[in-house]
Amino acid sequence: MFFLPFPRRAGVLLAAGFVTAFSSFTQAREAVVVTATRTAQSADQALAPMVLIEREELERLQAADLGEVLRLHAGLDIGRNGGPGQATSLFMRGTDSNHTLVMIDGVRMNPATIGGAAIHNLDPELIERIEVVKGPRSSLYGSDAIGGVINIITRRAAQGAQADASASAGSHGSNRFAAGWSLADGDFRYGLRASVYDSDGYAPLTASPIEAGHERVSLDAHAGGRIGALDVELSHVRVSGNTEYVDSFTLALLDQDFLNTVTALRLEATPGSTWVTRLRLSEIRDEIDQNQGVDFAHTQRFAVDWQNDVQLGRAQLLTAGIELMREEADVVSFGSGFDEERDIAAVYLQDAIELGAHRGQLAARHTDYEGFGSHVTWDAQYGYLLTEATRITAAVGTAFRAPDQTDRFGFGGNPDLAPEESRNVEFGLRHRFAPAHGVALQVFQNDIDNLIEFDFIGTGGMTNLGEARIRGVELGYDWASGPWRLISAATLQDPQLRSGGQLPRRAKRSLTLGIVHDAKRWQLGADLLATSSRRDSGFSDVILGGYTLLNASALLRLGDDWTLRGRIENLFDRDYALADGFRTGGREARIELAWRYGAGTR
Amino acid sequence: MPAFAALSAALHVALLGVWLDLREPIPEVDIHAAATRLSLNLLPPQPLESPRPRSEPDPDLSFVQEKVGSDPIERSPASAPRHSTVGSDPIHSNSMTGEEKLGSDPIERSLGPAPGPSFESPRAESAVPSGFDPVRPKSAIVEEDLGSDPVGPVTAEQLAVRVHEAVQPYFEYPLLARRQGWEGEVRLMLRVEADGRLSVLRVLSSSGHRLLDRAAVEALDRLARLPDARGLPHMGMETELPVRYRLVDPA
Repeated sequence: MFFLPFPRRAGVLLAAGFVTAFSSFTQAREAVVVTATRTAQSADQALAPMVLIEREELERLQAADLGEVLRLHAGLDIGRNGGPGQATSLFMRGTDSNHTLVMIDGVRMNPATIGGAAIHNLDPELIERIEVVKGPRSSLYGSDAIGGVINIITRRAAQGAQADASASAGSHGSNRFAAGWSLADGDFRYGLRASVYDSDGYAPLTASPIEAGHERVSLDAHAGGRIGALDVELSHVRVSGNTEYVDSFTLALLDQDFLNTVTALRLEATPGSTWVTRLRLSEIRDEIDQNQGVDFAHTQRFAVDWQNDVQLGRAQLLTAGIELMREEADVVSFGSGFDEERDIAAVYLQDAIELGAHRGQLAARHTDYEGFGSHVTWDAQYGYLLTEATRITAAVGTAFRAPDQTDRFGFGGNPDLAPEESRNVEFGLRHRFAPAHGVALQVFQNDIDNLIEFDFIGTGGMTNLGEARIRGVELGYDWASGPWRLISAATLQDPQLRSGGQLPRRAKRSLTLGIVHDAKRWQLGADLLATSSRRDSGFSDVILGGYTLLNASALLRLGDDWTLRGRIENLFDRDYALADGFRTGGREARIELAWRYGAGTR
Repeated sequence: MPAFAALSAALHVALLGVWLDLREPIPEVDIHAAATRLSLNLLPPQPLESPRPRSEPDPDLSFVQEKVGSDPIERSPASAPRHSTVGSDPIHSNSMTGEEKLGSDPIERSLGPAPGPSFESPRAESAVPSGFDPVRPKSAIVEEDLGSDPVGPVTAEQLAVRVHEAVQPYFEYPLLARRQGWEGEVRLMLRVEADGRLSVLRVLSSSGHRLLDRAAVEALDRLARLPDARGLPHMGMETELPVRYRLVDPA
């Protein structure tokens, strides 16, 4: 297995589109073998820069939540108000924390109330793979995809019967017990998984010694099968729990219950040999209920997505779809609130073309929002294979974020807000020197207008005020030899408000490096994360200092079914901050014993 | 945005039109007739590994039946594979054609990941025999396969080698199949006329995905004629060609 995400990513990007045919002709009548690279599940994003994080890497990281996984990738900045379960923000490519669309198996999970997706609630135990696609993706996915898209693919039954279980313990009284079972037999498949995590946490506020704990139960169930010409699958993901937090003003220990669910029914059919049609009905819920008061924030969203993929001739793949959503945002905050429902309708069209050494992709989407009217986004990408190991790409695309219901009806709300809009231009170069040795370079400029801000001087409310320009260079390098794997990524970016000033909590320079030595019986790994200083907020001059962290991981395989894992986060116990006034965890140790039975057993 | 809506509508109509157009050349043929036809032919032994085998051909693919006995239109793609008879360094294995192609395949070589326990590289399918010389032109090997007497009658095996060699550059992996993760092996029965003209007689077994079956048939359509027709009997020959579509995980 390849546990490092980057080599896979580079492979996807560079190899996608290559088709080779050769005959394996040791005997007559042997087959002509036509091979191509498997494409990512996030529709066809073969030309876009992408990070793939696979199951084995997730296991190595032993992360408490998705935020801890993502921060190990340069260009994905994390802001965090303390330990496990505490509010976490993700800033992709220097954009705002609500400029990343997060999907679970293709279903949008961003709340309609306020802010970005609750990545601090998502347990890596449920996840098979994470696909991070950078750059504007609104032409396919609609609102919020300004910085990029994260598609979380949950674990699915492989052929046969499988079962696994694990128990782990770590610093700050953290424990996790997880178990899963799946069965795929002929045309039918079923799976069930549960993970229980709890942590005493640590004192999140530097101003108070009070610790804030976190507990959650994560469940994933799915059942699917082929009924005639139709493939049907019903799935349900549910994360619920309780998070304690310390009130910044009163320093009192408070707590809130949370719930995130994704329920989806998927139907897929192939009516003609060149046409695949998919219908997905989904419902998500994102709920926070404050237990010491009446405050809450609830989102419920129903969506219908009908997508069609049609092969046109030999070289084109056309994707056309319709998406209808109804979302309800129900909020009470500091005694006042709103309960608003809105409908969203969209049509989208994408054409992917492969002709010789040329790769092209055009996409457009028309989204109609009840409230502010409609918005059109488009995207054009081009790739050219200079040689079979070298590819250059150019892309230009637009994206938007619809004002959330707090922007419109919350404190200082303005129902007449226009969407935030962006236009991104980028160029890329990828080259592989050898099969396991390659580089990637990406240069981008993203201009974002109509940023929604509170206007203290003029209207005294939320206004389309801000303009930002983010220029950046991303460099990636991966290398593998024998039992060694190395992956490194560096981001140099300049996230600036046009009015002046660095956008808060986004570093200008970040570097990540992972190295793993995998012998048959054991594995050792190390991760380095270095980040330059960041402004803490737009309202203060506090600068969060740059920091360098080193993490170490070890794995011992005890026979075929058992694995023992250990990990030390922040090996040198560096003191650093992800948000002003909030602590980070210091040196942390984790140990895990895992058992696995069935087809997936190594 | 009425312009966009109009554009979208137009594209949807065009899409539907093209789709209908794509379906159009495939005449519906009675499946029983096809099955009867099939039963009259002795099937060659099944390959050891045949993912998702089907007992009878897909009715949608019975269009290939139309080609039986018909005179295929000769098409010469601009990128027709070179076939030179120059340079026949003797080589003592007739199993080199695939290996040669394999060994000189820059894509798999340059993009494949480092050898790892889970990587299903096509390279793993057979080891490169000793004495393998990647510099030798393919034609030399084909020439060798024909034996020392190039005008002598060609054997079934030699014909199969020649077909393999000639068709390789014509295969593509359809984008939709890649998106969907479709894989499989389709087995085709081909007819080669005395002058090298090539036609697909029928699909012996489907890959399980009509798009892949169709892509294989179309690849052979594009080849149209075997570059090397020497030694073919005047009544023509038939040969079986299995085509396996496989997706590999990126590095």
